[in-house]
Amino acid sequence: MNIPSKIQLFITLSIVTLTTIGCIPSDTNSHHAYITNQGANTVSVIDTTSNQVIKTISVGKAPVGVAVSDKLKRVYISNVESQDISVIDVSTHKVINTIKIKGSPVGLTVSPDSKTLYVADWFENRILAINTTDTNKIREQLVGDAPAGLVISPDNQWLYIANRDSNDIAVIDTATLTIQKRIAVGKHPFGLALSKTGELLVSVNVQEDTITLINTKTKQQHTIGVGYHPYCAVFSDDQKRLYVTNTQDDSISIIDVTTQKEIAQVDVGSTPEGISIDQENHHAYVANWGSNDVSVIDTQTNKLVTTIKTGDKSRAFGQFIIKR
Amino acid sequence: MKKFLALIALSVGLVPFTASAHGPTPQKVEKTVTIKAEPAKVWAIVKDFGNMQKWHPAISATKLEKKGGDTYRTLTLKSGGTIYEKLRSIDDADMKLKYEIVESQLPFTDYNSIMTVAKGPNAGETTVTWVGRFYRLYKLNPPIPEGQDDKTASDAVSGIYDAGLANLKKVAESSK
Repeated sequence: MNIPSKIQLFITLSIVTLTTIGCIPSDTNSHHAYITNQGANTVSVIDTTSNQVIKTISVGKAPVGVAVSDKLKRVYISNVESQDISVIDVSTHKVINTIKIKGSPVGLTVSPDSKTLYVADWFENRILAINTTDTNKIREQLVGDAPAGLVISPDNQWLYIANRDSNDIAVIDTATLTIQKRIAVGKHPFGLALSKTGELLVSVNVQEDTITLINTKTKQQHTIGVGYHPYCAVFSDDQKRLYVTNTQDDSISIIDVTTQKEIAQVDVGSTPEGISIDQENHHAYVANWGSNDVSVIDTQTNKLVTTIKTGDKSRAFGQFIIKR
Repeated sequence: MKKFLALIALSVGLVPFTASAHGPTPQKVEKTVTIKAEPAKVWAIVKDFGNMQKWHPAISATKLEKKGGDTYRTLTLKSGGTIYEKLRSIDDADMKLKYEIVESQLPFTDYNSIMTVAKGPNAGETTVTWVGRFYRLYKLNPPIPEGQDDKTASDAVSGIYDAGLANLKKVAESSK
């Protein structure tokens, strides 16, 4: 073999190798987790099949919240300090729109029909309802002090907002965008979780070190102690368990929903904040603000599977996993 | 050190600390120092919650207080003013001290911290890590007034850590 053909072979082999590597992230069955990195002003995209970061996307300043729409193939990121929302196209991993907010966006959620993006505006004590097809169309409603976490009922009717400094949850009728009622919960609610049927609502009360379980039909409440300064919660796919991040204990609490008791604590990275569960592999993804990484927990064994390095001060507040 | 004292002086008279709202973006400062002394010796100094004046150059006195099951300390600053802190935990196995600020006139709020003592890079050496999580003072939308922004908050914590760790090294290396 002469030298040029050796080079030729090398180039051919390299292309084959690169193509093969390039194929893994675009596996159509895999899901992607979008992790906001507050200090890096970026979003890390994790392929939940390979558990690798496949892309890092630059967004606005101090990104915190995430909402996804499988239908629109869009991911929404709230940037608190630049006061805007980055809209990411999941097929190209590019920011395709930036929505200016005259406030400080934190919590985000998309309605089940994907027509509306709801935004919690921390300092202006209001929520914004943004039309996802025309993002210039924005409605707003005053709610409570320092609104943070948002969840919406599966029938699209009720929007729940945790008002951190009013110590309550505002229940909004989405048709009229008016407050129907307020539910008093523990001190400083931040994250919210809602069961698949919409029957069980959970508020995570940061300064009380508790979570409040609320039956949305009977209005019955039950409070459960968790770790120090909890932030966020998520239901397991079978709805039998709750996973709660304890920011100041570097752990997650696992709650049995039926007995309403904590059954285990699992150590994760430092200062865990956002948590979502992948429905395909049943793994919980936990964003660690203090250690700049994501802990992956197998929800069937409740053991740590792996830790994925992300970016400076990972937060990922909201449901951050999207189907591909 | 001078910078740190200047910061403390500047901060006195600013918005007083309140336990209510803070912004949505927490800040972090992490500093480490390598000390030529055994970890056990350094840990004994660090865990002594009621004697911070023995190693931090900005502090003139420490007053320890027990309230129910909780432990608090009042730090008196050489530049004037006090800092009131609550002990969260002392973990001898992991050589980890956790505490938080209850009240101060420092230019940051909702501060909690972890000091960790570990084996250093070489035999007979110790690495001390000091991490703080806190928020800036300003609690409204921009424009953010000077002296109440993220940078002022982070610079103040950095000043406290740099001065403290440098002197902790001196104290641990010189004492018997």
